Amino acid sequence: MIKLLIVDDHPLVIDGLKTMLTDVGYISISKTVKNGKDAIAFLKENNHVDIILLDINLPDIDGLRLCEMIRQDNKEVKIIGLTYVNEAGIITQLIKKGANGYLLKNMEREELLKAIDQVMNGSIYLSKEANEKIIQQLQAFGLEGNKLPALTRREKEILHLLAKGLTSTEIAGKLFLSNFTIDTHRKNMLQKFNAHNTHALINIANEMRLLD
Amino acid sequence: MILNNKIIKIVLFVFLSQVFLANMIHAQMTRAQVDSLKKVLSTSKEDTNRFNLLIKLVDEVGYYDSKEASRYAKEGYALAEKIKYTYGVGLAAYLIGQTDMYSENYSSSDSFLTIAENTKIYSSKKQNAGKIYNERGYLNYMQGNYYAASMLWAKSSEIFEELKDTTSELIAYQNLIGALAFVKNYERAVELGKKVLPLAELRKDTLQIGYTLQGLTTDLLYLNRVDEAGKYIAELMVITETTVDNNLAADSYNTIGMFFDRKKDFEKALSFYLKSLDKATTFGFKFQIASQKKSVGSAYLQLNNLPMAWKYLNEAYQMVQDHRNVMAESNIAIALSDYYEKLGDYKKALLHLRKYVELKDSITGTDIRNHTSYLEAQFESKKKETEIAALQKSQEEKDRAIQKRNLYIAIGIGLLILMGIIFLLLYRNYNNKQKIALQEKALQDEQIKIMEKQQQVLSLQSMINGQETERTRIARDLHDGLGGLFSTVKMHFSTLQHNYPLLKDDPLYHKTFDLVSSASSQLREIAHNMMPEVLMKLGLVEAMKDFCNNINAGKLLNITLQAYGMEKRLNTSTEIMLFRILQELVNNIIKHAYASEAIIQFNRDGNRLNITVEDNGRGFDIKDIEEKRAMGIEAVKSRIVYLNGKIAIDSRENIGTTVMIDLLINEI
Repeated sequence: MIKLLIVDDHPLVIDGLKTMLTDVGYISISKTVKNGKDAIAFLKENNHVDIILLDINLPDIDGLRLCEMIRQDNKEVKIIGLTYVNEAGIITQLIKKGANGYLLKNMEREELLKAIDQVMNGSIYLSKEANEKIIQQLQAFGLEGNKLPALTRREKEILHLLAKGLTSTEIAGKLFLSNFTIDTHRKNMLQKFNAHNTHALINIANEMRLLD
Repeated sequence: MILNNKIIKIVLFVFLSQVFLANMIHAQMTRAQVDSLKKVLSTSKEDTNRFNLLIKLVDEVGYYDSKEASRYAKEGYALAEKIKYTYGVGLAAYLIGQTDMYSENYSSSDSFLTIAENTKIYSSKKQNAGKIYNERGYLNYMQGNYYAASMLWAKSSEIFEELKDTTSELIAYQNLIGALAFVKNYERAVELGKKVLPLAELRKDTLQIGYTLQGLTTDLLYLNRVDEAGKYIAELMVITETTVDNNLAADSYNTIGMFFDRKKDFEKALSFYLKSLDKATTFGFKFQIASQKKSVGSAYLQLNNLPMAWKYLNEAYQMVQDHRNVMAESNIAIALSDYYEKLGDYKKALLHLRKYVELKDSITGTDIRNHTSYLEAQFESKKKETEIAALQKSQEEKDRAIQKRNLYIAIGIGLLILMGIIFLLLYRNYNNKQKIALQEKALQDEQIKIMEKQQQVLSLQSMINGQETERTRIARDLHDGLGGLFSTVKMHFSTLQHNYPLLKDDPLYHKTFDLVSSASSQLREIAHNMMPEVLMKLGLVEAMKDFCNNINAGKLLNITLQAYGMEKRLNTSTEIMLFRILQELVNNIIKHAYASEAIIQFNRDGNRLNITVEDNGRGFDIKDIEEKRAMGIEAVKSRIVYLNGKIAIDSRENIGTTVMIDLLINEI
């Protein structure tokens, strides 16, 4: 028997989940709670559950934080995040905090059962829509990891002129920009490349062949 | 050699300014405004309104014509006696004491100050008592009784301090700075000056800023820290050129002259000394004029123009004879000695040098006395430093309180707008009826203008704030309420379908199920657009990541997102505001720029946040962008104004557009 804890502050949703799970012989709902505090209390009482269905919008504790807290104390329990939103940032954060799966609340019965099955088998389950989002994000930002900081067009121009030995004032005159703007661009580049002064910045840029 | 007469003037300007500043919280009026006041006066009846008008005129005219101001004060005095307005008698007497002193009518000044002091209903107010002491101090100062002057000033600043009135307290600190310069402790005067300057700037009081700057610069010059003084010269110049306070102008021009004098640019020094003399002449202080003439003469001497040097030095010499002020006399004596030396008349040179030494000896006597006050002043200044810090803090707290209050006002005004234009019209109508007296009308018009401007800013703020709060609330309601409902309906449906498998073959069931599904996802989409959950939960950068991610998925535009120093989240309302701004900028790029690539970059360093948004689109001429787009940019600009930030748009045709936003993040 798979034992379930449902954490959701919406009575209708709990009702819906219960309805979907009534006929499933191998799953039993041990407890439903409406907030994070009760969830933690229930787990502290040494009640054994296999899966927690966790709404990430709770009235007391932020769901992401709650997920992290539960995971710290219990490495075994499977956590499936439940939410109404489908935003890549939230999904990745939830998985980072130790969740095993992610379901959108407008799921169908089959999907819920599939998710329970998969997390019990030790894999990560993402709902179909969530999966699409994540793949989208990976495609957009996936190669970002070790990439060099990208320079904006203005930064490139200014870097070239700095390398030629021009002062901020001279560059401002040349590009019809204010001294303040030039200085901001320069400071931004120092921060990007973690350089302490303009000289070091030009050296780094040369090494990275950004000035070629 | 630059002579000591400036020391006197440092004290002079501070106390002169105090007289008016203590009365004045509003900005200086222009000449035209003063003229219209005079017109109102000519038609007004003999009542307290007329009295108040006269007092206002004394304040305003006093900046440039003490004699005229004195006439108004005397008229006010007579009127107050006639209509039995005792407080007014005291006030007018005080003002006569003040204006007569500027006209160098010392005995009259003295007796009117006594009247003011004896008019208990006036002088029992501490603020007024302080002002009278201050005036007496100045009167003594003018007559060379420095010891008595410093005692009286100490007393007046004590009172101001006790009152904890920021304006007067600030002035008390300026007094102290003046006193420090007087006892030649310029280092400390500079230290304090640098602390008081930002306070004056915070209050946006140009007169105070002007006097503080002038004092600070002069003190720096005495310390020979010419380069440091140079940093303030430009700002001082602007204030000097625009002020109607001739006294400030005279002193500031003198300081600027002195600056160039120190830089050995005697031509420039001369031109500023001449300007200073010009202003001093219109103001009409004899010994100030004499001092300026001496400065001009000395500058001519440096330029080897002996005839002109003689003209001015001699005039100064004559003026000082009438007006016995040892310090000024000794300064002129040494300048004359220099002059005769250049002329080759060593006998006369020696004569004046002797006179200088003689006078110097008598000054030294005063110096010894001053030393006592010097020690006191040093002790006081240490004490005051901590108080200045406390004052600064209280000013900041006040600002915070004002911000809080502004928020309340914003909400209030939001309601007001809701109640509609009718109310506004009625309000104006009501105002019109109120404008019975012409004098009131002039003042009210000004107030209305200020209020309208405030209203504009406030209504914008409340609109934006209200909008975002509302959006957050609606998004949450959609998620929690309707969203949950739809989800549950779908859950039930899918269970139903499981329990009655035949339903799957029913087309009506299918249609219903699909409609519910589609409603549910549309609802999610709407809520997301209202307020992305990721923005609330994970912050601006993550939300932007999601946002760019969705755009990039469309393949029309590829946005690179870079964030440096953004580990700490900003406060929620700033994040929402910046998110909307960036949304608008990206939408602009998609709609108008025809760009293929864009970069959004965050650079945060301490309190400074810079956001760069750059595209490689077709660019535009900022002057003639189409209306729709202009409106978008205006919305962005007003949001940035709301955040107290700056935006710079720099666009080049067929190369692209760079937008830079700079903000100061106010977090501890």
